[in-house]
Amino acid sequence: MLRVIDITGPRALYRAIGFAAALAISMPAMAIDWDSVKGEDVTLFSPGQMTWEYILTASKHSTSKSVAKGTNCRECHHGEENKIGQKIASGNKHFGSAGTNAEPNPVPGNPGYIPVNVKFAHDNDRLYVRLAWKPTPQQADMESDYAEAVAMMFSDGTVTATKVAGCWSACHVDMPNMPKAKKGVHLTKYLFKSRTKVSRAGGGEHYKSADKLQALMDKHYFLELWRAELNPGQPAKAVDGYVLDKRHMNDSPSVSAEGAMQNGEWVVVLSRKLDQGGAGHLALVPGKQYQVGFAIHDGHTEGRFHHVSFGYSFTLDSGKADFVAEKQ
Amino acid sequence: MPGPIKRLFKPSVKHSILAIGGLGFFLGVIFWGGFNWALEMTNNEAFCTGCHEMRDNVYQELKKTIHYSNRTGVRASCHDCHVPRPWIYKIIRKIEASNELYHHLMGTVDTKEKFEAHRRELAKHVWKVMKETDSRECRNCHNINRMNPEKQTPRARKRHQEAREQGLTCIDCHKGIAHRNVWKEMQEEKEAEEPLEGLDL
Repeated sequence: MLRVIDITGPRALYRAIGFAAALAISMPAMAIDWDSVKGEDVTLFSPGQMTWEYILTASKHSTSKSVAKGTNCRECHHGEENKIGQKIASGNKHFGSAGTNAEPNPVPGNPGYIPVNVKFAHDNDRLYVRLAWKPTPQQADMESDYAEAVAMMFSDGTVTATKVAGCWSACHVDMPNMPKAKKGVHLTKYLFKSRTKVSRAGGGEHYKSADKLQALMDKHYFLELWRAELNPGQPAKAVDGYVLDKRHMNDSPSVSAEGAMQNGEWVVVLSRKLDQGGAGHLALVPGKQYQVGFAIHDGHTEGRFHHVSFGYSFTLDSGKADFVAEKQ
Repeated sequence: MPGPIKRLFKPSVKHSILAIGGLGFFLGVIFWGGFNWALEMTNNEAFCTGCHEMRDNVYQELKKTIHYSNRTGVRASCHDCHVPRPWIYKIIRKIEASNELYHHLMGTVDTKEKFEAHRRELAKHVWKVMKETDSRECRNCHNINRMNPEKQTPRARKRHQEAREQGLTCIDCHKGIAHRNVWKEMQEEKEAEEPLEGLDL
């Protein structure tokens, strides 16, 4: 028997609002025909404690001089992500040619890498990024209140280190669970240029003045961050912000996130308006090449225990990049 | 001068120049062959590891590396990397090796502790000579221009391309390839004094 929905009366207003909200939330996914978008498989891997300082230090990473000269990681490491991740995640004490102990606290069940299918697309109003991956068997005993989270950080090229290593330059040796972390000092992701003094032990709390940081923001020297926090059976929680001197998260997100488990795979779409504007948002326009890195916190992990990608690039409509977001 | 020796300096009465010359030539071949054969007896793994300083330290480290054992069984031993193949450089090296004999007799590195105390100095000697000779002994077997890039990993391909472009020699990057990597320890100490590079990125 059909249930008759009353469209008059006080409850009708609430129903209308609920319907509109559901429509608004579901609109972004419905807007893009993902089957027609060419995706690329990106392998994310466990980076352990291979921080930016380590990458730039020859005794930890023998090609540090090449990195300092601007060689992109993938020129040497393309196709090696799963091997690197497996070695690091296993707690191998002699990782790499420099024989570094990159992971002193391996998470049980972590295979070390996660293949992710990534697609970019846009319409008149928004940029959409679709990520699909199978979670690993690992289940960490950390305090995260989400089962899984996926994030991306990107620059319009102003942060030149992103052309070399994606978001790696925000990862530092004095952050929590890293070798030079100081007791009682909880640093979040930051860029070296936000500090007055940096060394192989990181940039610590040597912050530049507010004026100098604002000047960096004004010339787009920051990483924009989009993130979806996921729990099975619940709507994805969108989080966004930027990284310069630390991770600044917006009280109410400009990014929207949809995520669901489909046949054992997480499928997540992150999107935001192209002309969002405001602090911490990069203008998304055709003709510009953006540098991006992806990360997944899999199996209740937190902090540095994510799987990460090397640096990739994207453009809108056309141009030379790993991902070209075509207009639909 | 005794009689028989005095006679050696007098012209022969009985034998022709050809006979004496031929005998001399034949004896010369025996001597030269014998000399080189004896020299080559000092040019193998068994001879080098006859000294416990080598056997108990660097030889045990070599055993863990690809130069000792690998898929094809093509291997390098002590003399392949540490003794030049061209005859004149080989002879010079063998004469210099009398210094090693001296230190063996003096017990300069005859315990693990003494060996470790001198290890960096020994490593630096070898690196210096390899750098000066454009890694001559590596090039006995390896030719960077005959490396097939399609058979290399992207990492090896990239690094060797950089080596060709920057005119590097094998030992510039491949320190520690056959024995314990003291380069890393020395590099860590150097880095404690040096600023971090790549801050302009």
